[in-house]
Amino acid sequence: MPILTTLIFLPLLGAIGLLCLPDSARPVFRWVTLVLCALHLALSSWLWLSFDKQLIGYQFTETFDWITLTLGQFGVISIDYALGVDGLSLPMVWLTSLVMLVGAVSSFEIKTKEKAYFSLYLLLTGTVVGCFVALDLFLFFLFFEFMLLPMYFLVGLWGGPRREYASLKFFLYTLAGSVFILLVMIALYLSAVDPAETALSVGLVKDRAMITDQVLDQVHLAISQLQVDPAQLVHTFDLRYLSDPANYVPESLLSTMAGHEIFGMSARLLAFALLFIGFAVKLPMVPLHTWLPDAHVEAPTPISVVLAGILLKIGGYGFFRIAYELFPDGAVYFAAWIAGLGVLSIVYGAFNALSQNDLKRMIAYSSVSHMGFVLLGLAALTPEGANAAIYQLFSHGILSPMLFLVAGVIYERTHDRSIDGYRGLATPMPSYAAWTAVAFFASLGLPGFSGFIGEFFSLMGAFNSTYVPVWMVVAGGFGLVLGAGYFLWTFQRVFLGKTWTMHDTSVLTDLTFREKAMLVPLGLLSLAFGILPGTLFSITEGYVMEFLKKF
Amino acid sequence: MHPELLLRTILFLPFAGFLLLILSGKKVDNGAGWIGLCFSLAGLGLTTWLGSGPLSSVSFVWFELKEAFRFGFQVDILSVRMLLLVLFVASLVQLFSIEYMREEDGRYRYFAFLQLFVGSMLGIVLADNLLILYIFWELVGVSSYLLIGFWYQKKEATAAAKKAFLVNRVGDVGLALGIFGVWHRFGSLDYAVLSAAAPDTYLTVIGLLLFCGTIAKSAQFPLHVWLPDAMEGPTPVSALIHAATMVAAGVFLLARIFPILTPDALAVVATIGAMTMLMGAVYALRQTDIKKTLAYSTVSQLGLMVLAVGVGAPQAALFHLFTHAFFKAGLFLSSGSVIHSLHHAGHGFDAQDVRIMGGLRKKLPVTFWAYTICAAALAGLPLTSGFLSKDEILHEAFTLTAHSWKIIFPVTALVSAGLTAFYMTKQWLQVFWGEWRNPMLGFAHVHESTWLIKTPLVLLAGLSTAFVFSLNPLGDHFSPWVAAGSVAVAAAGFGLAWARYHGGVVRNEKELPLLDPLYDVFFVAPVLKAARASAWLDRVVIDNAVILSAKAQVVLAHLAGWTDRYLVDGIPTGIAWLSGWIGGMTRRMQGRAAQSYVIVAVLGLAVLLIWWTW
Repeated sequence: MPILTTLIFLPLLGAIGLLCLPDSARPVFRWVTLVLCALHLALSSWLWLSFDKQLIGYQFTETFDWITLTLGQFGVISIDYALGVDGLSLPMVWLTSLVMLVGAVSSFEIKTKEKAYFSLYLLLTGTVVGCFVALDLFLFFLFFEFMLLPMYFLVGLWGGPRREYASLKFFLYTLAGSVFILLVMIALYLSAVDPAETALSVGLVKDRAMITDQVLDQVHLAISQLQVDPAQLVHTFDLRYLSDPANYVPESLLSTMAGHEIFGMSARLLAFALLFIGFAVKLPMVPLHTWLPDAHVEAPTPISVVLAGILLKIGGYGFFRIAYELFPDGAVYFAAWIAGLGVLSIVYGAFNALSQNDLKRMIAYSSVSHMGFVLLGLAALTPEGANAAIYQLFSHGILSPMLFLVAGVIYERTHDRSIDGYRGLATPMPSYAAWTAVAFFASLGLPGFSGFIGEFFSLMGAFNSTYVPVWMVVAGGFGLVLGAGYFLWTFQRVFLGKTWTMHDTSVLTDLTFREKAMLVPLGLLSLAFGILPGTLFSITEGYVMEFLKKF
Repeated sequence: MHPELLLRTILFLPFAGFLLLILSGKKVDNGAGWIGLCFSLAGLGLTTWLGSGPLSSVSFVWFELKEAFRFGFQVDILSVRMLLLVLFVASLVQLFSIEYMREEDGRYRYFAFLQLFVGSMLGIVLADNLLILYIFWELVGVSSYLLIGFWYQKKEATAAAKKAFLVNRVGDVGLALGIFGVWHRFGSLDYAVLSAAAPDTYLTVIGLLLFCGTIAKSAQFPLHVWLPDAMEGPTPVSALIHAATMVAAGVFLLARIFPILTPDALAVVATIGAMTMLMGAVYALRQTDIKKTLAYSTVSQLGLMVLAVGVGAPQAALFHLFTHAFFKAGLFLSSGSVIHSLHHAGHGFDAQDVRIMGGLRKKLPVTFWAYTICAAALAGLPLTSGFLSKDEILHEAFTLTAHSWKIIFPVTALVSAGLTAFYMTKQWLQVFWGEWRNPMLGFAHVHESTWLIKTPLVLLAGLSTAFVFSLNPLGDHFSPWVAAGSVAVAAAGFGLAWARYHGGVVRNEKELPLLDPLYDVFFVAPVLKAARASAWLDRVVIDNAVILSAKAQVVLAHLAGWTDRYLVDGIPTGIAWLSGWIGGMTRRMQGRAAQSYVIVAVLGLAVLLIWWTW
């Protein structure tokens, strides 16, 4: 059974299945979704366990020719249905399954238009997984864009009072980012070739099976000497080929040799910058982040969980997989700027979090701040930094759902998320206070929880980097103090002191079983990954070693 | 038992105790103290066993990022002694707390947090590298937060807890940066590789960054401000965490990293230590709260230890750490005993205000004697442990700084010692001598507490005598001049205090201005201002820029539509169609954006293709 295809299409088929069910089956929609998500997590876990940490490169690969078009003198366009996972994407796939399952449990509180909701939810699951396992840039982009559709409706139909505004803002922002990515895709397509297919097309070999490294070298040589008729070049979107400079046609726009310039700027650097901006919107990075607080505030709790837990991670994933792997020269060139933007996100996000009165908005800004550590670690281009950046993505994928669930708990009871609307909740809701404390302390980077590893080693990696100035690390460290500040201050105001609220105190009931079933496993996972960071590092380390060789 | 297994068990026990208690919840409230005590006594027993065998270390690879990061624990004389100290004081404090906290709700939480603290403290003591130290360093921080804020409905307590954590976070960031520096310089974080073979500015900076951790944790100037506030926590907690063990961790850290402290760094360390010692002693002079006096005294004594490291005498500093742990824990528990007795006797007054005490020696004889012995040790009178350790510090400090400007450090220490004798005498007189001064409570109602409270006091008082530490009550490094000087200074302090306060006189003395308002003005307020400014920037500037650009698109689309409809009409159909197409596209861009990317894509492709073929 092709596992990765299953992971993509299981939820998609589930979505279609739900649509086929009659409306009278209303009560089962949520259960179908829950079971499918649980199955999804089981499959991802199996994938994790079967993953060979020693191997370099992609595993569980599936490749089929999908679209092949002959475009005359522009050569042949070849788009493959290519899937695979490596040390970067595997944790993200597993995280997707986990967060989607938690979100599915949280979705039990959705009480309107369930059929549409749950089919869109499953559609989202499939497309997000697709994003993480696609090895063909075209396929990635397809999933990347398609994801917007369910998100747009999930926020726009089931959200809060300003949901239309928020969903449209989210949509347009991300779309603007994708236009940049698309531009680079086209340039990439025109610049790079698939050497294997080209060997077939020029008649160097007759059969795919006969392709050896020697043949590929021959093709590379022929291309580099411009001996191949452009009409016979087979262009590709396959990331495995795009990340090898030898596959770029000399004199092509993005060839490392040609040094083309656009508007006085190196074409490759420009392409990197465009990709970077495209994914930075998704991450999000200051100053491209203002869609995030609005989207979170308006989104229903489960969608906030998914948005923070998974969708932001695609931005970070895109940095690694596409911007950095394809344009390492750009990454090096802009390293100090990227680190600076990371530090800006950390500090600016933290300052904003400090001044919010809406619990969800505070958490949204804390996400901005935490994602800054990803940028900082990545920009460092050191083993500690890059590993920690992935770790931070993963850790935030566990902790931010927890935070949004915490906000959802009180919102569900009183429909009020204002921090100054409550005092001393610890007395009527002791379990709630305890698990909020766990989520807050884990998020502010307390050792023993996963957040610490991501933040500490991002900073350490940046300190060791030759690209990152030391003052930035110091400023990032200041972010740690601010992080403790806004979390503890919020905790003190909402949970400690004498109990007071403007709402009827009878609704302040402690956590339900369903709420505990979400918060407790997430808290324990954060603890487990904080105590045994090797669980994740042993998977990412091999990838990062290969990744760093490019720089 | 195998030493390695023994070590792991010792470290594991308190965490197991923590989990057991916190998971059991309210239903174990009654037995929680005894459970916790058992865990600590078991740890104490195992540690004695560990110390009697060959000393070995445990280290395993925690995870690898190109280099291996190790989870390592080292067992040497110092760490075994520290283990014994922590577990012993923790046991006494728990015994004391069983009585002291008897009427509190949520005792399971209290004793669970104590276990968490003990485990974290043991981790600090045993760590063989800076990363592991840092991890447990932050964990003691969080246990301290939880315990200071134990009475979470009390506003002052929660504020103090938050303050303690945040101030410590500031120091921790410095510590973390220092750790990064060590990693960068030495390629390892093990204590074993730390050496200042080639002192340079870089190493000085690293040393000072690491020292930031000490400044916060050991309440050194200028980050001492959290410790007096931390007295909002239960008194036994103050005894264990904020007097005997956690706050001393900073001194312990300095002793561990001593090899990389360059002469320049040490000069800074000594300066900070001296300033802290003097400042703490001065602040202690005017306190009216029985615990606050002791808190400032702790600040001052920690300053003395830091000063000792700074002048190059880490062994003397550690010696004082040990003696101080016993007599200061004894003082805090004695004050706890006083507070507890007064609380039991009546309500409606501040049980910590020494101005409304007096004559208590008659009612609380055990507490009185314990307090007296421990206070004598703090003042450094002969035959007490404090005399030994303080004299060792003074002796070494005078020797090491004899012919340089640094002689100012031991001189400052001597002056502060005089002040120490003064404020301790003052408090001793006001609490235990003179007449009872509280009109709201009948003196007859006050009586000594049970053996649970008295036993720890007696033991700690016993451990504050000189004979425990040295067969020679004058110490092994006895130097007559220094001893005579320090005794003279202490006697002067005692004499002056006696003259001013004998009979337990209360004078109307103004409190000294605190540094805290300055911090509010120069740090807290600017941060909050920056936070509001960021929020404004985000909401008004960035967001409006985004909305404006969206609106510009709408205007552009309308313009294109208008152009299409009214201007282009007369022009040949082909061009009209093209414009219409562009106009439609831009219109859709802001309207139904779903499809527009396809159009942009095609357009982009077309532009590139045209450019390509040019």
